[in-house]
Amino acid sequence: MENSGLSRYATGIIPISVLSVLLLSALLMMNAATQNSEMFGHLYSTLLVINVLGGVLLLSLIALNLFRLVMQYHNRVMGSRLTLRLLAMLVSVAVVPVTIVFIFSLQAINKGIDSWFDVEIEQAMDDALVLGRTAFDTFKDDLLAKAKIMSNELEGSSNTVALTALDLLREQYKLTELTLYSQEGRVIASSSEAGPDIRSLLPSQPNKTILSQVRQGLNYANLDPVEGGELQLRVVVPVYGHEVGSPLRMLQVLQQLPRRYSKLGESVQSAFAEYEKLVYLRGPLKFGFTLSLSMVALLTMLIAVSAAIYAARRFVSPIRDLAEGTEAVAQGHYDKQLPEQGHDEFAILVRSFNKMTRRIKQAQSDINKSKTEADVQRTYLETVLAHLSSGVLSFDKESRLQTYNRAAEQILGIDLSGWPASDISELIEKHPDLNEFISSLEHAVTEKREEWQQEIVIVGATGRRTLMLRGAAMPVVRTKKSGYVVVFDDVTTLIRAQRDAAWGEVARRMAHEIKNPLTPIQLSAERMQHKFKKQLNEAGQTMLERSTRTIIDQVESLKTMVNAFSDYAQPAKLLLQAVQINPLVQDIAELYGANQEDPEQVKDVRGLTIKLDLAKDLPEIEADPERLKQVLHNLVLNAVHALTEVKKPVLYLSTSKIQNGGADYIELKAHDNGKGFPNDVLAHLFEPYVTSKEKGTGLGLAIVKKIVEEHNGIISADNQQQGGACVYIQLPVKR
Amino acid sequence: MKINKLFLAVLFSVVVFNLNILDTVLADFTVIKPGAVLVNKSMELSGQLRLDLSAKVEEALDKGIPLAIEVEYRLFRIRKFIWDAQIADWSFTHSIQYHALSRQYLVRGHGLDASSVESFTTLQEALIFMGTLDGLVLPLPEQLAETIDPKNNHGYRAQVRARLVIESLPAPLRPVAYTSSDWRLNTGWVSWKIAD
Repeated sequence: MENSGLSRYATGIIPISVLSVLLLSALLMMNAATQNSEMFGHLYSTLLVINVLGGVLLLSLIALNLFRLVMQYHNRVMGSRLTLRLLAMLVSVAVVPVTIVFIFSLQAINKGIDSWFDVEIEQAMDDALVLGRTAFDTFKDDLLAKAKIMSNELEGSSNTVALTALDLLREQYKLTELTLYSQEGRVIASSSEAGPDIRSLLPSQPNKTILSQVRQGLNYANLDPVEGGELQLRVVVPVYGHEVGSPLRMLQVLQQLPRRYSKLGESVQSAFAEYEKLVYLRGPLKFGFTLSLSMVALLTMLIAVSAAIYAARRFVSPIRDLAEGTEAVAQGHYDKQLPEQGHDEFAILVRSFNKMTRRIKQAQSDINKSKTEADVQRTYLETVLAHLSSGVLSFDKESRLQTYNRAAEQILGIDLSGWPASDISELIEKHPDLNEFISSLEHAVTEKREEWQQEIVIVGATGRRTLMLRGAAMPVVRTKKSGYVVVFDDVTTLIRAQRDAAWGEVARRMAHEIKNPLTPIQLSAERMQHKFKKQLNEAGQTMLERSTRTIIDQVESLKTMVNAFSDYAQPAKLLLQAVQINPLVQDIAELYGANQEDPEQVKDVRGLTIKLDLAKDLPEIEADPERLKQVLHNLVLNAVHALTEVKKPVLYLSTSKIQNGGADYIELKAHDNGKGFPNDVLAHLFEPYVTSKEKGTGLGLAIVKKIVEEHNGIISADNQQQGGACVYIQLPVKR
Repeated sequence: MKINKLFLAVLFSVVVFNLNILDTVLADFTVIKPGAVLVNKSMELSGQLRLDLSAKVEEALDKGIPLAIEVEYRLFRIRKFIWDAQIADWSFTHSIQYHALSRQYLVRGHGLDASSVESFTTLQEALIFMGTLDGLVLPLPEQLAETIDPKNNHGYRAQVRARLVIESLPAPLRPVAYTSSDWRLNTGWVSWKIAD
């Protein structure tokens, strides 16, 4: 919230409190002033203005506060709704009683003020005044009569003796003061009970109006209030001269009323005046009280409202904090801590909240730690799995694939990345070649075997392969079945190696056991022919010769075969050197092209066209060139034999540099345009004595494979899509 | 915001204008033939203040509410290019009250004499007495009296103002008096040049 200095002054409790106290005191003083208090009477107007201005200021502050509150409500600031509701409640609680009290007070004041005035009292006051006047009129008439007598007596006396006459008359009639004035109003003579007026050294002068009235021959008699609350009677009468045309003189008679009468008269006067004043001020007084009361009510309400605003804010503040805190926690800010203040229930709530968030944070951090550890474990496991040469698959209890590794994909020859969480049976639909593999799994699962081991053979695009399966049910964690895991290895190569080794041993033994008797058989057959030829007739000779010839040929044939086996079985004696493969391939191609005249070769290679596609700038390999030539011979012969039924037999020989498993290889590819390898042969193609030809030892490709493997090379074969067999030989580049 | 400012400005000017108008039109107090001479280290005034009371004020007076009338005098030295310099001022408050028992109006204070009490049978007489400026002699301050010379400089100027003092009214009456034009009795400052 934008808490600028000005805003804090406008909305804080202190300014409103101070203002309220000031206004209330001003109001108290004003109320005292309304009742004519001497103390504050002269401040009344100032206080009124202060109160009005203060009220306006207070109203503005409240309006500002309410405006801010409403804005907060519109902006959906946390806690503003509750504050407004609370405020409405508090205000109604405060305002309604104040309003009721105000209305009743107003009525009471009006009635109270009215009750001050009574017709009877008014009448009594009037009567008292009339009584007073009547009483004083009697005195006045009496004094006027005396004055007239004195005037008559003075008519004959001249101005020079006037003073003596006045003294006598004053003494005679017991008067306070007697003064004789000329027509112009100048003092001729004056006689006073207390001597001349001490202050002015002049007798009390009648005003011009009185003098002019008397000059016209009229008498003046009236009651005069004098200083000190005393009353005196003033009578002025004309004093005529005896002679015609003599100037008029005027006699003023002042008679101090007895103190008791004076006091009573003044009392009646002041009571009457006060009552009259009150009667007159009834309206303004009511207005004044109504004003004061209204301001009291208004200020009370305003103070109540501002107090309500403060109270609501104060009350809602911890709730708002809590709401904000909860919101923050809901959004995942578990480190939210609220300020702890006070010792009330809110403080307990806030403390509990803080404790809760601390615990949540701790729990969250523990979870994160465990998660990290689990991640590390999983990564470790995945790394191990990824680098295992064995295929690993794990399934959940619903037989859905959970985990797999690269080796599994390689061994099974399928992409499993699209299969997680899919049912195992869906794999069968897509890959019918894995039928036996999956059946084996399902069988194990159906029987709920804890552990099992099985060797299965699958035939797919990469040929016939033997897999060794080991399965186990996963441990049950918290009564939750966790599925099972299957580990499998491709043991095809291993089995093949064992078979090769066995064949090698057989060949060696055969060579040893068969070759030994062959020479004596051959020699015996030749001696037999030589010795018995002469003893037989021509027909016998012919038969002997043919028989011995057969024996010798077959023995020779056997020898060749045994030698071939021997070669196959013999351990490698390689004379390794840096070799360029392309010249070797060209040599072989030329050899078969140059030997076209050779009847034997011609017969064998008749019609075979060798087409070369040799990559340039191939790196050297480390090999025994003679053994490599043998490989090439065998491949060409194999093609010749395979293509006997093809009209235009062609053998394509190509070389290229390839990458395999991160290493550089020279690949020699030989493919023909024949029918290709029969499918049943393909899997055992490189095993000894496997042949699709009528002729041949069945060792051609076995030897090729042997030589290639002696050179740490890789050999594989397949059938081309466009037809024809293809053999791939990969030999590592010399480092 | 603009409208508010405009509105306030209009309201303010209307109020100020009206106050001025009211001050002149409703001023029931007037000054008739004011005059003054500077003689004998004093200012001697002439003329008459006509203190006509409105009906409301007269009613209040008759009901015993005392009225205070403040009469202020100022003396300025006229200056040519800048405002005139005020060199002396006097202020007197007279009060008038109805005395029901004697049926007379009592006027307290007259001229320099604040304690004098005069009684009149009619209000008119009392008001004329209160408003009489003829013969009123206002002594000048000592140091000023020495230097004053109407023939020098650019002359002198006198000002007079008579007004009903609302603050002297009973408190309950004041809000009414402040807000009602009936009670706004004021001559305003009446100014005249003092003859050489």
